[in-house]
Amino acid sequence: MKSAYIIAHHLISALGFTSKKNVEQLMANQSGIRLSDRYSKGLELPLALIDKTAFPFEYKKEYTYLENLMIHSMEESLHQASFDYKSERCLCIISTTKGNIDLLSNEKDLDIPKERAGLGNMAEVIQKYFQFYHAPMVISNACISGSMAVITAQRMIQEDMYDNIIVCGGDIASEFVVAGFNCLKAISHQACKPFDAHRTGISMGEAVATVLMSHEKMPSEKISFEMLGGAISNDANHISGPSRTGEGLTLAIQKTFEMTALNASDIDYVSAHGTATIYNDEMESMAMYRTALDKVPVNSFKGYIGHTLGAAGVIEIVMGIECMRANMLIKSLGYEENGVEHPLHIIQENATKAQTHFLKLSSGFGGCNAALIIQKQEA
Amino acid sequence: MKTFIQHFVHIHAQKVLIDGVLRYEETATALDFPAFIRNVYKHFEMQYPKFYKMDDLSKLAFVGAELLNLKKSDVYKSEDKGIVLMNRSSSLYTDALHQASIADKNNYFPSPAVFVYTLPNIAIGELCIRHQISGENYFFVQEHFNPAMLTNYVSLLFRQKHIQQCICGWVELNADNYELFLYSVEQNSENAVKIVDKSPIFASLNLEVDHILNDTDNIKKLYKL
Amino acid sequence: MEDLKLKLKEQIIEALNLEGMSPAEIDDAAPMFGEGLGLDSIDALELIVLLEKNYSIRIEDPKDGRAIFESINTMAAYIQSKQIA
Repeated sequence: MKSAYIIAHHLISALGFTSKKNVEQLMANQSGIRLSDRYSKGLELPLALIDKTAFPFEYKKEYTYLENLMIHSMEESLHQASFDYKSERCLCIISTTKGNIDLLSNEKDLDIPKERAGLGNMAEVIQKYFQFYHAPMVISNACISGSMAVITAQRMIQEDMYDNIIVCGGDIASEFVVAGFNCLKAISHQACKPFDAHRTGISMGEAVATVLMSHEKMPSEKISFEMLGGAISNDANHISGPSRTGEGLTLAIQKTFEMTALNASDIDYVSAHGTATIYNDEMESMAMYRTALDKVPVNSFKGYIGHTLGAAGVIEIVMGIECMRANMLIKSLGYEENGVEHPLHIIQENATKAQTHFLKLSSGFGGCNAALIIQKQEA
Repeated sequence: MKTFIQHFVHIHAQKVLIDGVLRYEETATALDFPAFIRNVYKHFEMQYPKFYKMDDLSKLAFVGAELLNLKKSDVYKSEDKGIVLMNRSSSLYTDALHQASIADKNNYFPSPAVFVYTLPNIAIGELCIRHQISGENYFFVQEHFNPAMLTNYVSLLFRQKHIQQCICGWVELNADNYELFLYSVEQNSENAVKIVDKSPIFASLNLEVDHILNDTDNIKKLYKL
Repeated sequence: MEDLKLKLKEQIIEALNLEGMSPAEIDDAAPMFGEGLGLDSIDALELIVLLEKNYSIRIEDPKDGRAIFESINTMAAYIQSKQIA
C-alpha cells in the first residue's frame, strides 16, 4: 500500500487570495465575514465573500467566476510541484455542491452557455484548459464533498491507481443558496457562533481551495503531511436534519480510528464542521463525546470564512495542516459560552501546542458524514 | 477481489426492466415524468407515503431501488452497505424550480421542501433511510455515463473493506428526459441473479457460473441493454 | 371559521404533497406532527411559507411554529387572531 501526501495547496476565500494570506488572517483572528445584502436584497446578512475587486490574476471572460477561481487556484498549486499533470497517472477531483449555479439566474448576461451549470460540463471545460488526460471526477455530496474528495484521492493513491491527484473544492455564494438557507431559517443575522449558547445559524461563505496529493513527499520540504485515512457514513435518519444521537458521525470517526489504528488520545486537534446551526453543533458534539474527543482541543473555521459548502472540507483541511505546521491552536471565532449538551474543549484563545495528528469532521444534508486524519511528519 | 451483480433495473422511455426483462410499459403516449413514475409506483404496489414528497430525481432513484429486491438478500449490517450513484444533471431540474421561486421579487417565496432537494445526494439520503444503509455514500457527476470510474471506485470500496454490499448506478433526470440504470453488488454470488437466458446480450457478458461479474465491460453492456 | 379551516386543509394538502388525502380526512383537533398527519421539520418550515404566502403572516422564529401548527384548530385560530388584529 502506498502513502498519500499533501504536497502543496492554494486557497482563495474572504481572507485572501493565497494560502499564506489566509493563514496570516487566521493567526491574527481576523474574520472575513461582513454584513451585505448582495444576495438578499433589502436584508443585510453576514457573508464571507471573496473580494472581486482584488483578483490577483487576469479574469478570463470565456470562463465563469467559479472557473476563473478554480483555474487560478489549480495553476498556483501546480507551480509549486513538478509532476506531469497531463499524464495518465494524474487525476483531477473537483468537489462542489452547486458549481456555476449563478448561470441559472436571468440577471446573468452572458456569453457563457447555460449548459455550463452542469457540473460535468464545467469539469470538462477545466480538463480542456489544463489538458488533463482524464475527465475530472466530480463529487457532489453536499457539505462533505471536500473532505470526501481528499479521502477518495488518498484511497486511489494508496492502491496505485494514480501517482498524483489534484483536489479542487469550490463553491460561490449566490442568491440561490442564500435564499434557500434563509427559507430554512438556518442563516444567522450576525456572524455565526459555532457551538455557542446563542448561535442561531450559519454565515454563508465562498471559497476555492486546491490541494495536490502525491505518492511521494516533496523532497525539499522538512515537514510533510500524510493523509492517513478517513471514512464516510450516512445517518439514514432524515434528509436535512442531522441525527439527534450523532450516530452517523460517530460511525465515521470510529471507522477512521480503526483504519488508521489510532484513537482519541492520539488526536492533538479537531477541526469541526461547526456550522453554528442548533442541530449540527449539537449532533457533532454528541458524536465527539461518544468517541472520547470531547477533551481534545477543537475549533470551527466557519467564524472566519463562513460555510463554504463544497470547498469547506478542502479549505479547512489546509487550514488545519498549516496550524499543525506552526504548532498553533487557533481560537474558535464567535464562541463565548457553551451551548451544547456535552461541552467540548473549544479553543478560546490562540495557543501553541505540539501537534502530530489532526482530525477533520464534516457533515451535510442527505445525512452524510465524513472523518479523516492527517499526520505531520518531520524529516 | 470478485464482486457480483445481484440485480439490475432499467427505467427509461416509459419502460421498466428488471434483470433485463420488461416488467412494465406505459401505454399512454408521452406521459410526463411525475405521472409515469406515479404509475410505476402504483403498479408495483409500493407503500411509502414519503414518496410523494420527494423531488423527481429522488422518486426515480427510490422506485429503482425498490425494484432491486434488496430485502431478499439483506444479510449485511447497515454500516457495511453503501451507495454510489452517478448522473449528468446533478439536481439541476429541482434547482430550476428553486431558482424560479426567487426570480420575481414581488412573488418571492422559496420553498424549504424544494430547496432541500437541490443537492443530488439527497436521493442517496432517501435510499439510506428507506433501506437502512449507513456506510459509504457517493454522488459523482459526469458529463457521460462513466462505467470505468464507477466500477473502479466501487471495486476499491470492496477491496478496502469499506463495504460488503452496494447500490450503484446512473440516475439521470432533466427537463426532457430520465434514465435510470441501477444495480446492486455484493461479494457473495449466492444472491446474485442467474443468467440462464443465453440471448446475444447476455452471452457476451463475463460470467462466473451464470453469475455476472461486476466489471467495467459488463456494466457498459448492461447499461446499454 | 369552518370555511377558513376547509381552505386551510386544501392549502396544506397541496403545499405538503399529501397525496390521496382529502380535507374530510383531516381531523380539526388531531396533532399535525408526530402521529396525526406525520409531518416533519421541513413541513413545519413549509407551513411558515404557506402562512406568509396566503395570509401575509410572518413567523420569524420556527420555534413559534410549534404551538401554532399543533392542529388545524390552533392554526385557524392563529390566522383569525392575526386577521382581526
